[in-house]
Amino acid sequence: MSQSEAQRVEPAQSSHGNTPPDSLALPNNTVLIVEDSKVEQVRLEAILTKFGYRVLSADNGNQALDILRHEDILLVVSDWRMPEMTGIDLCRQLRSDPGFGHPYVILVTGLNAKADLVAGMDAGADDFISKPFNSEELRVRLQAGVRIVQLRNAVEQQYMQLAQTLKRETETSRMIRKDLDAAAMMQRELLPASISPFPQLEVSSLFQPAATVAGDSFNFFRLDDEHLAFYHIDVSGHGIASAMLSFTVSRFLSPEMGAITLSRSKPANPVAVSQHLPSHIVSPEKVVSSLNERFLEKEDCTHYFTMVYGVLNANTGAGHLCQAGHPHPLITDSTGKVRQIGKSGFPVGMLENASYESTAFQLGQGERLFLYSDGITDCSSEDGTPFTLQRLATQLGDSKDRSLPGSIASLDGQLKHWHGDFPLEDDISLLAIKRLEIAGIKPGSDIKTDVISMTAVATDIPGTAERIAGLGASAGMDDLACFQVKVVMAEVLNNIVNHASPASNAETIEIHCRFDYDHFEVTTRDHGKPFDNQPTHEFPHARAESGRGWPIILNWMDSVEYQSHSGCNHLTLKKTLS
Amino acid sequence: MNLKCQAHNSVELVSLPPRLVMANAAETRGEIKSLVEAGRTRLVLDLQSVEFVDSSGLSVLVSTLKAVHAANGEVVLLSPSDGVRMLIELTRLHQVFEIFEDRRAAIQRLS
Repeated sequence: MSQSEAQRVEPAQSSHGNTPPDSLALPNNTVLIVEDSKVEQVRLEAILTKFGYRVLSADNGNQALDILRHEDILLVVSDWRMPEMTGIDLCRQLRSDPGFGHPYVILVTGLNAKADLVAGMDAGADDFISKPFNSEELRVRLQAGVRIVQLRNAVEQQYMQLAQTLKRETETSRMIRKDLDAAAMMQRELLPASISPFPQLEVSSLFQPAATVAGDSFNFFRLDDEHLAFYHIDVSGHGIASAMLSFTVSRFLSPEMGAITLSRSKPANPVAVSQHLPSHIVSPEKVVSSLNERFLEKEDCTHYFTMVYGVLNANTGAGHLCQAGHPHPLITDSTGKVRQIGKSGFPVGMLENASYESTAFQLGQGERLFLYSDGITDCSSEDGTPFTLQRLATQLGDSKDRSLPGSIASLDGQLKHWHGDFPLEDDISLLAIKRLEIAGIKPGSDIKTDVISMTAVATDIPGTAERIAGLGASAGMDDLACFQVKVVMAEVLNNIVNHASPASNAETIEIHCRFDYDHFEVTTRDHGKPFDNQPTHEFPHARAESGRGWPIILNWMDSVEYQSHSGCNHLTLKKTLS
Repeated sequence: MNLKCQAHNSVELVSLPPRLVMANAAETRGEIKSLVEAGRTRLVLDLQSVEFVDSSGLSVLVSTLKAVHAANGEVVLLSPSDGVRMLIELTRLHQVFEIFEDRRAAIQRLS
């Protein structure tokens, strides 16, 4: 039967004194009467209409279910005893299928037996009213039903809102986590590769953020043909806000910006800005002062940073650095003796007009300079004992015979062992610069270094390879070694020109060479495409099977390392002659 | 108020917690700020029981300095431990803070 066959009674328009406002407050105020007795049905319709409800009627259970399936019913008033389907059966059926909605069900009964009421409740009835009843009694029962439905609707709505909010928040938190991971990856990529811009210097570092992203950062870059700039920053606090400030400061110091580390114009006065620095290089205390002005927090000082900024002459080892609230840098010599340098100073961004000074220092051949954050010295063990400066100094001194990366790896291991499984409280980072030893070289031999720029075109390859081999010859390398260098360099440069820079012929390849009589090291840098998608540690070994170039290169070299950082490919080849 | 404060006439002696770190820096800063806003602008920051100060903790000392100076007040430090004193000296803050070892002398200085 269709719903049109159901009997409809529209609500009375006139306002009776006893019209319950509750029923009209709901968007749905339809009551379904299920009653096999026509007389009783009409009586109920009249009463309910008078109360302000919209009324539908069914003569039996099946009709009722059909209406329930198509109409949004607020309340059901059903007779208990009916042919075909009893009130209890109707209840049971409509509760078994959510398609019937969730109306409030009042069973009308002539019986008062407790067992029947229990059976009715079991079947899903919400209330009972016994015949005979007066209209007032029915009114309050209906009102109670309306209140319960209203409450249930409100709870349902709240639940839906909560579920939606939870879903939204979960999604937001997932996005934030994803963004943070991406930011952490970017931050790591922004850290310099351990490739020294000067063959006389070796650089290595350690970076372990406490949160996903860190407030620590460091970098080094060449200022001119002989000067290296380096810095190490620790922004107060850690996490996102610190990382963003750290990032901004790094941008300010970056060589691409070139703004504050080099003088823009030649000073009228040719006297050096600082006693031993050429005039085009801004002295460290001035660099730090300009950062202080730029990042000053006038009111609170919730965000400031400590740093060491310095300049080192790669040829002479003469250096200048400004220490601004940062731990004293350490220098270890070849006997393992450790000395502190720096004059301490105000943190940056904390106090207006803070004045800063630079300290001159000398980095001897074979000596190592370490800049680090207090995250290392304050790093707590399980029982809260800090790692301390003493332990750091001892560790760095004791590992004097290890290579620079080896020494840092052993410090990293010791720190991990120290704090165990506990999450780090502060970022751990360290930057190390070693001035390479040229003492133990055989008499008569010489170290030759050069930085060659080559346009990335195939025609320039043979000449460049020849020039690099010539440098080896001038350093005292034998003919066979020079031949191998020439072939290897020709293959390497060919690969770079063909694979990494096919689209941009104007790209420049920078080649850093360092030759002893028995050792050479060449690093090429280009801004072409990364070589391929293989992880850098697998490259180029994974390609040894293909082509003719890589097998030769890998065969003749002791080590071939490839790294891709910030859009720059670095390929380092090393060989020690027996 | 989590900080222990003790009024000595116009001078307020504020005892800082054993660890002044990122976790409690904002709260401590807020409480000291409220004190200053309430007109208590002559402060002795008692560091006697402070064992560890991190970079965020250090910023609490400096923002206190800025807040009291803005209100024409003064602040001095009392009895920092060796570790805390080392940090203060590393950051040269001993040049901007007067540091006292004797409580009475610190209070008297601001009275």
